[in-house]
Amino acid sequence: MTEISHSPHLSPLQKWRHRLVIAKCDPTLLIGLGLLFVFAWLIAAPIINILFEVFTVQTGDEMRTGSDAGQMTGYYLERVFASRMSSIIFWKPLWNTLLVSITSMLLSMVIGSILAWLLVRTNLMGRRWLSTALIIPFMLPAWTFALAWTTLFKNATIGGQPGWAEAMGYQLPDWVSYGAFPTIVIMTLNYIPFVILLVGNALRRLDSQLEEAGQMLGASRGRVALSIVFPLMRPALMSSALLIFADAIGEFSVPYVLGLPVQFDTLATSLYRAIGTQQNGVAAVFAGVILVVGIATLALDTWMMREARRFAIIGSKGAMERRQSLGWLQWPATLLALIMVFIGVIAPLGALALSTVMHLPGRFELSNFTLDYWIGTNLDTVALRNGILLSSEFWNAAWSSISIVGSASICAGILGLLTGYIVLRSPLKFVSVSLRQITFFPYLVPGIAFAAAFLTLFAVPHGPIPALYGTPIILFLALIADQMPFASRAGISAMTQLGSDVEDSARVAGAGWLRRMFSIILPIQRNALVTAVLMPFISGIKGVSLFIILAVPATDVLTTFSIRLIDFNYTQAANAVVLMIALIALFGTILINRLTGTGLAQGLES
Amino acid sequence: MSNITLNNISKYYTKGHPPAVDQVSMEIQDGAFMCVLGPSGCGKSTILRMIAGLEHLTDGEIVADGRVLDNVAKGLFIPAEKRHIGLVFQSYALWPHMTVTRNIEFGLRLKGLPAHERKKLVAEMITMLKIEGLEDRYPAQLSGGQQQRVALARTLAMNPGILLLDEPLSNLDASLRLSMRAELTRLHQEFGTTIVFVTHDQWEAMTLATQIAVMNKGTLQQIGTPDDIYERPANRFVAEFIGNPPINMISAETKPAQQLMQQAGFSTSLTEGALLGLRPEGLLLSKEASLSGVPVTISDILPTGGAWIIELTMAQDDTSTMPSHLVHTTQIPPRWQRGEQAYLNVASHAMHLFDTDGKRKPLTLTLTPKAKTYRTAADRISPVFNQPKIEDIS
Ligand SMILES: Nc1ncnc2c1ncn2[C@@H]1O[C@H](COP(=O)(O)OP(=O)(O)OP(=O)(O)O)[C@@H](O)[C@H]1O
Ligand SMILES: [Mg+2]
Repeated sequence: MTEISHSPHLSPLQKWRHRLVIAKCDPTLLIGLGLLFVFAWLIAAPIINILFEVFTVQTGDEMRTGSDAGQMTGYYLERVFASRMSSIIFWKPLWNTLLVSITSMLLSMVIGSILAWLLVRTNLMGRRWLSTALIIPFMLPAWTFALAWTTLFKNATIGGQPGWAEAMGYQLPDWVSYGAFPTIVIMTLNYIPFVILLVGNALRRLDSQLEEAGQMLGASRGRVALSIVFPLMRPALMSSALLIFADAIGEFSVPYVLGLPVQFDTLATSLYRAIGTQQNGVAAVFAGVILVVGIATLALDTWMMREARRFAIIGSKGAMERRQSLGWLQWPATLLALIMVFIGVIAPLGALALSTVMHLPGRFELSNFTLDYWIGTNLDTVALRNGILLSSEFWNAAWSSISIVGSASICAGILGLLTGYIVLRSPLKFVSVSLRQITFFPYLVPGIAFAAAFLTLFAVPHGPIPALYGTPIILFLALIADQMPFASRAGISAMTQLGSDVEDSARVAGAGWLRRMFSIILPIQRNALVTAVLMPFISGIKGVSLFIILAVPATDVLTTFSIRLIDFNYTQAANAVVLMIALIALFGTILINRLTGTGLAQGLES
Repeated sequence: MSNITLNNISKYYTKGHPPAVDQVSMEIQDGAFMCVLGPSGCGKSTILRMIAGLEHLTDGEIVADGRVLDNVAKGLFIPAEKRHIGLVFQSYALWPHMTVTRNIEFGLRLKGLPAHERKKLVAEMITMLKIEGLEDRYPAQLSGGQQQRVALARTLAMNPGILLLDEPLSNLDASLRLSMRAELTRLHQEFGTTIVFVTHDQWEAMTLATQIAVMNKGTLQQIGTPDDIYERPANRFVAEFIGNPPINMISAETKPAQQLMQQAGFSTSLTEGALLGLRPEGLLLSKEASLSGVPVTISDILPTGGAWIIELTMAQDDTSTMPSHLVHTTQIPPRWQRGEQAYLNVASHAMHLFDTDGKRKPLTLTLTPKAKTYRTAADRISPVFNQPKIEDIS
């Protein structure tokens, strides 16, 4: 029974005319196509473009490649993968990247899962307080912790102030101060809260009766864990592992801060260096590699999640929350959790905060304390002669950060809500499916690769669009594109919950499209909109990858400002700026939690 | 103040799936109180939404007051916001961010009514629907029944010529249902609004409507007055859907069926596979065999509060493949014991014959002297059921 067989008297032409007439009454389709066009330009075009750049001779490389700029070439691939330089410029960084990503992924999975189990499934003392304290690092930029590490453990290999350890008379070898080891430690600390959230959520849904049923049948505790809990948790564990890995391979800030002094390069820092030295072709290859690994990992995750749906029934609604008694393990377990809070939160934030009020590191004498780095004037430094709160550079950077990230987040939030609306209401299925997918796409692309892709596309004029490099507009557009996954997800889930009846009833009452938007949809979705704006705002404020590639001194933002301070060895000031960023991010996260009433964990999963 | 014509309207939501509405035609007269009745998923809401303009047709035409609202062949479509048809949603769909007053006012604002007129109208609606004191509440702070009345007030305030109601009473408790039912009847009489309302509850349909359209699986089964629908069901589906407890269906070819028809005065020439429907309340039980009733056994008696359901078992007939169990309802306290023997007759108007294809087949009276005697006898037992049906005599 097809449509045609039932209305044989209608010609296709008549049907199309009827549809056209209907579509004209409602701008949904038109807006959907408009959005699709915007995202094709902001998201798909840069990525396709950078893949082309890999095979195209760049300006300045005519001599080396022996052909004109714009011609096809395999030069960059060869140079990166199979030249004399390959092992230095590609294979070593690749090895470093994999080493750092996989090790920190495994470590954070093990530690995070144990903590998640303690928090969710046992009678751990103070678990409520601990579960908040343990996820604080999640709200802060990763390189806050990298800076804390240098503050504590920097040695004399590079100039500037020594770390506290050296100042107190301990000689530290390079491998402790810089390179793979601290990078792994910091990234592990950074991912632990993520594991606690994801695995904890999965554990919460797992019906404890299943465990008990196993125990009733005489299985030992270890047996139960191995043969019941682990298989059921496998999808969640695998998924967390892959998400962490995909994020880790694109991580820029931590290896940048900790690896630079000892030439410890990862793909992300190599990419940054290639761009810094005008090797755009090579940069495109790096970006391509990061992109492919990222996409492959997350595609694997998506595929596995689909497989995992078969387990979905397991978490029944009436799942009882029953906690295991830890017995004599109570004290060691509590101690472990407290140590993690100390290492992950108190020590780094404390060290950073203290460092900003001390002249010389690691010397705890009253005369050594000062507020100069915050509010001092006429300091005896070459640049930045005032404390940061009194320096115009800081306030300019703060203002650019807030205005660029803020306006981009507002746009992303509105676009996200609009995307949600179109995805649910579009009369053409293909529009909703492709919108949903394209807005999710940047999630698969590590920020640094995306920034590089953006740079290659928008650094040169294209048709009516002038070259945007050096303007805040390129940052603004890149931020929007990069944040669309969060914004559109927030929008889609909000619109799914709304249903179409309230809008339909406004139609019947005589409200046209714009009126419905402004009087019905937006007011009802006010909280969702705020979330869709705040989430991108927080991650934009603390993000480094986009800015490090796309910002120029004229468009200095807080993150680039603080990285410049690090490069100039103004440690205290840099730390102070980073603390300010952390404060904004923390405050925003708390605001979201207040507004949505849901924990971060749910937000992550939806 | 308006009439609506549906011309062969069809709706396919998904290609390749059966239609939600399949070539339905009906004429809804000015001032009618039309009820669309049918089981869940039969396309009732879809019809309302197409009239309101929230869905477009896949085929056919909708005309209201001579204005073409939707016509596929001619490529015409008027969107919902320009149709000025009132629709009360199954879910009420109140705007959660507006107070009761603002909800009622919203449409009036769009119309551009000045503030004092709006205020007057809102007050009027609030009094009429008895929601005083709730003006400043938000929908989440209202009970289901109150929400429903706000939804109605919101729609009525616009004074629409056509009012569409999607299951307006379904979420109410018994007493609220009664009062809302009365409210709707009053509204209909006072304003003369053309009302189309949708329900799957036959009680609502029978008590409220002037016209009932029975639907099944997207197709229109029968359209007529409540009496038409009950007394002359056009097909087996309508007969079985209307009536509580449902009509008894037995094979018309069995000996007991033939005997029952003969006694009621009907000729018994039959097509193969025909079914005989017997309304439970039209069954007559007697102790004597003198009326040559069909022998039955009382298998169970269930009191339902002021009425009784009596389950009967007919003596098994070897030609029958249909169940030999029958259900009888009565308001008279039964003087039967479980397991007792009785003789069954059926009042002529409670008897409906259906063809193999399910269509109603008129029963023809054979006014033989013998049949006359039977009729008189049956009617003596139950004087209420003594009017022969016009259709049956003609
Ligand atoms: N938006 C839609 N997309 C696809 N199918 C739909 C849609 N809306 C309704 N249907 C299908 O069309 C058929 C008729 O639906 P409709 O809502 O009109 O039923 P209904 O008679 O109002 O039922 P109920 O009494 O349960 O409200 C159903 O099979 C339903 O699944
Ligand atoms: Mg319905």
